[in-house]
Amino acid sequence: MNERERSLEERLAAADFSDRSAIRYSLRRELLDRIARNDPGAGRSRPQWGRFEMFKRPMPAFGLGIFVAALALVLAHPDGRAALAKLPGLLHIGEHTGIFTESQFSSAQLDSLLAASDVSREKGQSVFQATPYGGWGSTVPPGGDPFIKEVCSLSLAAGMVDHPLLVPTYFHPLLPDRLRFQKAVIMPNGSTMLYFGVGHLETVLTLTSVANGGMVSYMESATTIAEDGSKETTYVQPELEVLEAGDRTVTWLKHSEGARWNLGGIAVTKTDTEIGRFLWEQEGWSCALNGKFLTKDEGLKIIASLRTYKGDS
Amino acid sequence: MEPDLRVVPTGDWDPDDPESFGRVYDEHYSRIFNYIRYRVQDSATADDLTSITFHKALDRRFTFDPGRAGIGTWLLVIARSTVTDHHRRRGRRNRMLGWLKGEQGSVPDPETILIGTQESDGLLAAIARLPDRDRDLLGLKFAAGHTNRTIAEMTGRTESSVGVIVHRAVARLRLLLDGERTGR
Repeated sequence: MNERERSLEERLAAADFSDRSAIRYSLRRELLDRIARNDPGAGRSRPQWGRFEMFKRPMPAFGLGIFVAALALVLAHPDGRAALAKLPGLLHIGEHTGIFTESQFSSAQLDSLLAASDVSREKGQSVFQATPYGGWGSTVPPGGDPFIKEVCSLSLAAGMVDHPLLVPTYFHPLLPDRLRFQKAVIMPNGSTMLYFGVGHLETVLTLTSVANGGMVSYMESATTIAEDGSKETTYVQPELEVLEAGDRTVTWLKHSEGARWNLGGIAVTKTDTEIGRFLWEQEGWSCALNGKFLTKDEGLKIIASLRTYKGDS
Repeated sequence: MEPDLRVVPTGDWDPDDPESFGRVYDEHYSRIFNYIRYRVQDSATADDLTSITFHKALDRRFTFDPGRAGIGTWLLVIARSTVTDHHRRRGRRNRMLGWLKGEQGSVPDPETILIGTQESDGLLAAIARLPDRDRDLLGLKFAAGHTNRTIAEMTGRTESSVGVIVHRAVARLRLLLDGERTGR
């Protein structure tokens, strides 16, 4: 074999065309959703666990069957803001954004709430989607379609919502380019999740509408399952810090486990880096910036670099 | 050296556990997509067939026997049969179109021609001009990273036959790339 053929072989071996694949992350979610939904077509049938279980991660400790749920559940209640706002244990980080710091519901109440949510979804009155960054839901406006739309074009996404999108213009030191837009997930009420970057640099900006009195609430919990099958769920106490990012005041919500985070929705990954998420409100929107390994410094730079995008026109 | 196509150690594979499947997906997605991309005309089709491959794998995950083959090889077998089915269906469709148009042989559909022409990558464009047998073996060799021996087992050929076909395919690819560069 001559040198030219050898170099061509090396080029072939090194070639990776998968960055042109448009479905890598959505397909992954679709497949894992099928397993979690106990899709009858997905191999052998399994007991139904309910969607909270999707976030559980096996943790080897003390010889017990221990699972940890690094769970961030977003509940947008357009009509329930007043009721929610009065709940004890709801820590406000903005007028329309709060964090549950203690359980608001008994186990039976939670089951009932989830059952009602399932009925609402079956009737097409609301939608829900699990993501590595938490579950995201939306009500369906009267006359609206009960579908979550996903598009891979930023201009297309801008044309599908009646609000401006926010786009980071931040240059990451490990990337040759800006955090590149990957896709937008659009809820029936216009709430939008924008995915930028890839791999461990994936960053997700969520814009949830609170203009009509909505309230967005977050919670993180850890569930321990003992050998006898009994469960105990504890609410992770948030460690908050109010910071300035450009002209925005934001709240840094450090992941209290510090070294543990969901990676791609399925794995527990340990890192020595302090990671977490940012929350803030602006112009009728409750905003969140998440990332697989979002550090405080990096998040602040990304938020400071956010620019309004209204489409190509 | 052949990569460890098991990646997920046998003891860690649990078909009941979404984490296991997720790990396998993360480790093998690029390899499977790249192999399929070698064999089809455009990335959109490769996306479709990669999706079908992983959905099939999900449906069949309880039938996977770690004692018989690595999970990477198992996925690749599914991907190969998915591509073969695709070509067979497409062949039937093209023959039907040809018959309706009073033509013989295959008729590439306009969409494929359009996407093919827009493909900017010279390497992919050159690979697309190779016969399917060559693309299959090059894909197994370079996209999937198999040895000639494993490819021989998967394709029912002898190891030396695989070596010869791959060698000639690389040489043909080189000619195509050189021709493209010189405008021939």
